[in-house]
Amino acid sequence: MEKGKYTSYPEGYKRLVRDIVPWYMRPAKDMLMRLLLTILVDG
Amino acid sequence: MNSKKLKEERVKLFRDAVNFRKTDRIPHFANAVTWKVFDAGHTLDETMTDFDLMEKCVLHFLDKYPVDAILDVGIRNQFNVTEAFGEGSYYYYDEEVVGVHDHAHCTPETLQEYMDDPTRYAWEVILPKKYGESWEQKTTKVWKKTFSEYIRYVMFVLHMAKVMDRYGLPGLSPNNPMKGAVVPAVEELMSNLLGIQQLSVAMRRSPELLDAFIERWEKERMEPIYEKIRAAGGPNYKYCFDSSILMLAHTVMNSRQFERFYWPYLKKLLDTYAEMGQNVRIFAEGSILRFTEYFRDYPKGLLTFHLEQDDPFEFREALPNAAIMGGMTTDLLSYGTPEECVAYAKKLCDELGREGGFIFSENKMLSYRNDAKSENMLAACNFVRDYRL
Repeated sequence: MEKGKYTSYPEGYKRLVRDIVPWYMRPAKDMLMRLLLTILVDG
Repeated sequence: MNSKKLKEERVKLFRDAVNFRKTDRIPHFANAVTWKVFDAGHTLDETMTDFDLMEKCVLHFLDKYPVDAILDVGIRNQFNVTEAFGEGSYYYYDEEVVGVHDHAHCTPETLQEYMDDPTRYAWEVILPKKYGESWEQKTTKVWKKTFSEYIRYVMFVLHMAKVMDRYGLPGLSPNNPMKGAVVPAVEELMSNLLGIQQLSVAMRRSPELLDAFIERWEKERMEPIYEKIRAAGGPNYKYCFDSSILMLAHTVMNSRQFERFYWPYLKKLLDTYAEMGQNVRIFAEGSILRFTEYFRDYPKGLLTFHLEQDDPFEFREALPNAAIMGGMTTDLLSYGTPEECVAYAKKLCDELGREGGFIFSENKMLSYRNDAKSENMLAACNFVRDYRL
């Protein structure tokens, strides 16, 4: 059951980053997540 | 001429114009956004999530209209990321219209909590509120799809930058959502954090809370930007301008509110650009005419006002030290004839640009089908390209 898997902070958020950002993009994960969040929050 | 050389020439033309140096012709910055889609024979709902079709619409525009730069190459108003994530977007679109609902992430009382940790606040407050019950039900699969669409979007942005290079079109300025936008505190309050309604009320009922937020935004968000401006040194000649700032919040302020919440901070930003000899474009939405006295002491070259609703001739009288961008009204482009558009374009070039200080552009962002007739746009573009001062 995945409900609420990512909704806690910071644990769920960190789990999400591990689950969705491919390994070769990890060095830029903070920048990538910041912009993605901006789109989801403001868009 | 190869595209690299063409781009360099265009940058020089823009920079000469904003620095009030005489040029042999007036540069044209196309304030064109989604109108391109209609002009290419498509509708918004077809193109908003289809990068290939959007690129086709952009190329249609660039092949048809001879312009020196363009505001948007199809990268604004893309919805594939939010649609992959599911329902709940503040933006909406249909065949003909794209828009955004007034929204507020905070109340005046929670602004400090937002500043304490914006990511935590997004995670614990904004996203649960925005997506309701479905927030808890976002699975790994949904998140992966969203992330993948987001990377596709980033790749599209990079691809379109190469298209611009191919056409020899310089970018507007180095600051943008990909590289870090310069957003004064009150603009963020109005666009996202409080919305128009709450900001208007808060300026009267909770001004101290706004002061505290703006001071903190200044220290934590703007101070690093001042450092970057100073570190950059002089102008960056890859772009038409060194910075582009959007002003909208002044439209809901009286002079006293402008002096308290906006001007001291905007002045600090502009002073920093002035110190480094850089060129700034301000897109003044609504009317800025009643605030021109604040900008009178800056030297020529610093400021270019892209005017949305103000009469450019009246503005030139009021603020002769600022370059003007704009002039061509969407009313004329939409309801006039090609001859009338050319006659008005000539008047703008002759009366505003003979000594430099003028960039031809459309006053409003060309967004909707009726913002311009194709034959009027073409006549104006051809005239500006060919007219010699």
